[in-house]
Amino acid sequence: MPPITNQTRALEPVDQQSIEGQLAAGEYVVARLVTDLDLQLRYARQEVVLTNQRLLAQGAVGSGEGGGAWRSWRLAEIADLRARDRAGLGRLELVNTGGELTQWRYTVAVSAAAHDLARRFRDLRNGTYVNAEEADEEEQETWATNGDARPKAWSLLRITRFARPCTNLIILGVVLSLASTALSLVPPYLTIPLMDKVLIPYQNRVEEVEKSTQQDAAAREGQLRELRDQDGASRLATVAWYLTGLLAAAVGAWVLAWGQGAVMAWVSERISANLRNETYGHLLRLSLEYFSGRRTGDLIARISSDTDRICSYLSDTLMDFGADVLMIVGTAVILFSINPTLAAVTLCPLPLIIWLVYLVRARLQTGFQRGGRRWGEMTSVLADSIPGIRVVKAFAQERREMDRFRMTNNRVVEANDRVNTVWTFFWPMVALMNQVGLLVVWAFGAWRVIDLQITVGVLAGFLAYIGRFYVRVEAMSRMFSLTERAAASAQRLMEVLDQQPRVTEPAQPAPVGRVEGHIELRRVSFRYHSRPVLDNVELDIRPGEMIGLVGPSGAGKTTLINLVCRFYDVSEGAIHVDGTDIRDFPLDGYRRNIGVVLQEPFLFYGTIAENIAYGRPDASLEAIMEAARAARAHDFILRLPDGYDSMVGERGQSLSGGERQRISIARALLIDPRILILDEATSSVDTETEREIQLALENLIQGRTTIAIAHRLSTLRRADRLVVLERGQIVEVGPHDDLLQRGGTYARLYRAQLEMNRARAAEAARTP
Amino acid sequence: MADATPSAGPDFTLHRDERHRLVLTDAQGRRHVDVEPVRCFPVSFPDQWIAICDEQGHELACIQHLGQLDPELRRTLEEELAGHEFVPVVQRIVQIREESDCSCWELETDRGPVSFQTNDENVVRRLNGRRAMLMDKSGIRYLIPDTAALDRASRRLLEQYL
Repeated sequence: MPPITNQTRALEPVDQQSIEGQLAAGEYVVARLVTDLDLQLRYARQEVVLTNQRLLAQGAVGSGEGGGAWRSWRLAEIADLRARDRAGLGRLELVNTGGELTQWRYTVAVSAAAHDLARRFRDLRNGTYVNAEEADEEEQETWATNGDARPKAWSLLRITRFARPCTNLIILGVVLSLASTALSLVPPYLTIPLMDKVLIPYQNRVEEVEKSTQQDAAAREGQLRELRDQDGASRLATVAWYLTGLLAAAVGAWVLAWGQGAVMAWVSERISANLRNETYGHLLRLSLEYFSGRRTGDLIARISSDTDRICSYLSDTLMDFGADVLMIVGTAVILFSINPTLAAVTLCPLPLIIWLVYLVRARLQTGFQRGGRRWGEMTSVLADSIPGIRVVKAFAQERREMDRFRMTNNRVVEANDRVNTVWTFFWPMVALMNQVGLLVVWAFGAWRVIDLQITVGVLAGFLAYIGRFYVRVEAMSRMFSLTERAAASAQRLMEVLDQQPRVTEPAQPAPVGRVEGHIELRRVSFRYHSRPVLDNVELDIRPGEMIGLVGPSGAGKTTLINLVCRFYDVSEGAIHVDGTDIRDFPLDGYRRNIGVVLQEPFLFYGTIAENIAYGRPDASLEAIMEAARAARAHDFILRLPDGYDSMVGERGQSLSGGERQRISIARALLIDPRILILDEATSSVDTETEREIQLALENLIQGRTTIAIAHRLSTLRRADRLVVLERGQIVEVGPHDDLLQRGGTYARLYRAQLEMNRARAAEAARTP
Repeated sequence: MADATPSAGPDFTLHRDERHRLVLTDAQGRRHVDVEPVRCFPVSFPDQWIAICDEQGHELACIQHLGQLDPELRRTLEEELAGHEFVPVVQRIVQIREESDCSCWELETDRGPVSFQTNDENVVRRLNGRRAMLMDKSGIRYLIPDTAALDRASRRLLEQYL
């Protein structure tokens, strides 16, 4: 099968057949590129196809010029073909044997494919082309994530997944809430007979007495007293019954509402904790690439404040929503059953409110999202400056940091102001609607009463219902903005949860136990966002060999060790350990074989013992001490007031750089890795510390395959082979002495390093 | 190398000389005068792994467990360790006054009543089991061997800081 890059699928270019038609017998496609710009840098599609015999190109499609005509060069006619990128813009240049130049232009979106094409061309010409199908996963992913834009409100629905463990309790909460709502509908219903059957007839009889007995006041007094004592007393008893019913309903509604509140608070606390765990767990699984593109503070804000917002939304608001809907529907039904015309009039402001809600919805949505984003920016400033406080103070930049914070803080205020004006306008508007609604009911009701169509009791009942009804409508409209706010938070969480780790577990993992430590880098290339970092690196490292990586900064040394650790995956080529592609190993199993000592050793807040045992929490005290001894850390640890129980890390005992370094060496020693990655600190330490670290490293390196980014002369001399990297390529390989004699890049770097050390020594000698 | 891994067994002797200094004689018969026992895990495992260090702080020997030693040696060591250590055991928390930038603790300990100030929000450190430790501004530590064994009022005060 001829390999076809994914580019064809992604951009849906010129139809397949027109290319097939161009191919001769025995010719197959090696690489294919669809450029996205024409020579004037306007968007246009143009196809460039590399086969095993020729390079074919079709005139630009979409720019109006050329369209469809194929040009071709036989491989032998091509003197050079290269892809070059600069600032998001790339060019593919073809120089034929006659010295004639042909160009294609493209944006970063397709630059990977362009480089791929150029490389395959070189391979073809050098005869090193291997016909292997290698899907360019990077491209596949970028295209896959593009089409993934779900509507916002869905994000909130998606958190139901986290509610699953609490289903029973949620049902209980819903039932309680419904019962409580139903009970609260009872009181107004009781007021209707209370008025129409009890109070108003009584008043009528009083009026009758007053009208019928025109004679003297004394007789009227007597009759009225009689009425009050007999009829009034019995009616009072009925009133008492009604009032008892009203009280019972109120108390019942209170108890149920309390129960519902308690249940929902409990549930929402669980859901948001679940959400936090899940999000953080997912975050930890994501590859380094994700973190390098994010702000720490923003991620922290997502896990802390966004989940909290959802929690309070769930407990305070969401349950009420169900109750409110039931209340509104229930009220409407009751109103219609009592008097349809009056009900219709009563409900007429409702559509108006719904329309208002609809109107502000979009504004609130974008407003709250903006607020959330800016909040994240603000926390980022904190997460940036607080760990860097020493630098801030050293350069006396407190004021600038304050300004930076104030600026982001102002942006939060500004974003919130904008959205606040919307909803602060909105709520009173709804309240006004309610008042208007009430007036309408009064006006219409009064007319109907006068018209003898309805009784005063019915009107009073209506007014009681309508009061509740609009309180609920108002609450719902308030809730509505809270919903949008929570949805914005949910969206920010889902963004994290939807992120797929770039470094993935293999579908069928190869068994990995304790590896031998034979590392092969086979034609490894790595691009970071289309910027090439490593290019075609070949290296074979024997088990137990020590490799020193040397080169100017930016040469790709760190990238190389990141690839070996599988923090990133190679863009092309493969890394094999003991003959197996490391992408076929389960991640944790593979990494368990790797020990890392970084330039800036990171200590977690905890005891020294915990820090040393970080990679093997179950290690015995003896093993921990043994590792510390080998790392030359034991003696200084014993001098600390709490020995191995001393707290270190943030807020803990402060340790010197050399001490931290040795603790991290002990940490690596304890897991006894087969492969050791060493990123040496460039900073110099005093000679005594240097000696201690050197001895510690000696113990660490012993018998392990080691890749060290080397700065210290002693490390350079000790390495079995040095690998000199320059601009992502290996330029020299060999032992220290050989490379020195060769007088190339390494000799130059080494002499510079030597100079610097002498200068430092001289400096140290001058200062007492 | 100066310090080969010290053996954990008691292949050395320890005694006080005429000037009351602690002297360690190692397996090779070398005498180290004025040595000092150091607990490696004074907080979490106080009775395990006691290192004997020389004057420069280099480890000469390491004892895995105090219980392994013969009573004579053990007494000597514990005596010496006690002389170096000052960790009052908290019997009662009398009161804790919160001020704006620090808190003031008043305790009754096995060494008498004491009060101290601290501005560390993590003044109480929870240890394994129900043990807890307080640390004041100057780094003096106060041990609570069992938080549950404290009286009710003390427990309630402590609760806020755990």
